[in-house]
Amino acid sequence: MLSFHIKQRDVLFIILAVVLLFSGSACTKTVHALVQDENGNPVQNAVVFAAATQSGDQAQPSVTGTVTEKRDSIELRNQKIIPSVLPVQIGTSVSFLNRDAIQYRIYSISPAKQFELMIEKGGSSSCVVFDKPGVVVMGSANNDHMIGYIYALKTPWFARTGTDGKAALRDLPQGTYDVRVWHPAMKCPPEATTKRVAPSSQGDANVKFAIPLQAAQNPERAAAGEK
Amino acid sequence: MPTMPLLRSFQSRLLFFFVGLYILAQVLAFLAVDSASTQTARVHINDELTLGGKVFDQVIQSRSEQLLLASEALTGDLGFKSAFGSRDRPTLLSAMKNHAARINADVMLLISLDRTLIANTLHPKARLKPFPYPRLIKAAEQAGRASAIAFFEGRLYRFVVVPLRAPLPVAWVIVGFSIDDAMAQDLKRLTSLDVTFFVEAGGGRPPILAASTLAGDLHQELGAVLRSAALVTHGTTEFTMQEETFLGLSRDLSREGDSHVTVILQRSLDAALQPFYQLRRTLVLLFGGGLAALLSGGIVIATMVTKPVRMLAESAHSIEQGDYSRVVPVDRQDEFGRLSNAFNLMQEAIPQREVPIRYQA
Repeated sequence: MLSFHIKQRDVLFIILAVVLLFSGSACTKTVHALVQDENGNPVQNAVVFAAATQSGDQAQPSVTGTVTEKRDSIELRNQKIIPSVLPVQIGTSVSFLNRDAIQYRIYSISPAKQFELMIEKGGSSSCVVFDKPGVVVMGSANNDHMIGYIYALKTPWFARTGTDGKAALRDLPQGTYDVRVWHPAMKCPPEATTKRVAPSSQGDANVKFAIPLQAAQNPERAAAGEK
Repeated sequence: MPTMPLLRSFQSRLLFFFVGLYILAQVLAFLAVDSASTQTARVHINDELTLGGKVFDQVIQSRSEQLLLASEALTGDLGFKSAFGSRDRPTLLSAMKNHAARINADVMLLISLDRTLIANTLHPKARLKPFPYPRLIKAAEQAGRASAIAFFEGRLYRFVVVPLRAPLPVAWVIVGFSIDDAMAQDLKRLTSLDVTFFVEAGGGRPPILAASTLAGDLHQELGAVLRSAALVTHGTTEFTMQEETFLGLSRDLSREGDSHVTVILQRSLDAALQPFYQLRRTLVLLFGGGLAALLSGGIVIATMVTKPVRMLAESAHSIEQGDYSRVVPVDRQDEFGRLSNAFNLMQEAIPQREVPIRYQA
């Protein structure tokens, strides 16, 4: 009888410990990614994104993320599409803001999203909703050198690398993730870059990628070189 | 007077010598002029052929360049890109036909980036299949554009390959311009050479004539010439067709898989030598006229020499017979006239001296 009570107390203690552990997992984590090319140079404008692994059901995208309408925008300035690479979660509506003194006709015939927009001088376009995952390549009808990419993703956890090739995926619930990279000039599919990370309770995770790039199809260089 | 053998008479010896000399000199001069002029003509025609070949290459290249630029402008059209983006076959084909007509193209093909023939304006309902000229697409992949002369579905075309950019390349557009007799005639006007395009399909079949400036009955023979491999690539060769001599030049235009496109540029040597044949005829006429003049003049002059000599001989013969009455007529003032005069004086003096001789005797 006495021993039973002791056991019951033990069980209660274990339950308490588990609850404490779970409450600890509610703290969000950050994954710091560094993207380099095969020669070790930092790669700008790469999209790093994380998806929860199938087994870890506690790390699903928060429900609120898909319900509230997400918005983003792209600027057209100095005959450039800025940013040249924009990652968005599917369902995001993107508008185009024209900062130049010329009209633009921005189009895409990519399977993920096809559109054609006339954007007046100094004006903005109506929103385009990106509802399918995939790469959307945009161009300007009268400015052949202008090129931009929208990368529509299912996951809400993504970031674009800066000039230093670094990007941080923030607010990740604790769990196990497959982190991948996409870049317009990448020679392999994003699946080939997969790295599995599980940010520990002590700290954030660091992940480093070395991706193979096609030299000529670097978007910045393509924009500068093709007239 | 007994008939003398031909060369025994002074007159015939004189004539024989001068006529012989004349003929020898003329024949030697004729041979020298003829060989030099024919050789010059041949060198000239050879140069013309080489130059014509260069002009041909240049024309083909610059036309391809023009068509590439036109095709690039065409595929830059947003309407065309939208039609491709629609992924709807009838829409795409209608746009392709419309755009091909804008630059008078005869065919337009759409090739996917994995080298599959997606759409063909000649066969709107054709199913997807690998494009038969992968090397052309490979060349375009490397250079961003390409052009070639290719035998496609029974006809010869100049193909230009340009990317369809949206704004990255999403497909290859091939624009084809058919190479027909009219185009061959255009090339003839520029090169002054007869132009014939042949396609060898391989497997020992006779070459297919695709376009030519030659008359129909010469085609077969040229095909035979081509098969006999008489034409050395990138060199000039002489060959005969219907008893007419030609100087020809052949060019390999494309070789992909079994089909092999060759162009033969040729010029009739006989036609080009016509001015020299004319010169030869003139030389022969001049020779004949000169010979006639030499003969008649020679006979007259020889007669002028031999006639007084003959008369003096006859007169001397009379004196020998004792007849001093035969006076040699004197009708000229030259050496023969003075000789005749002296002879007559001598004839008169002989009887006067003969009287005292008889008296003394």
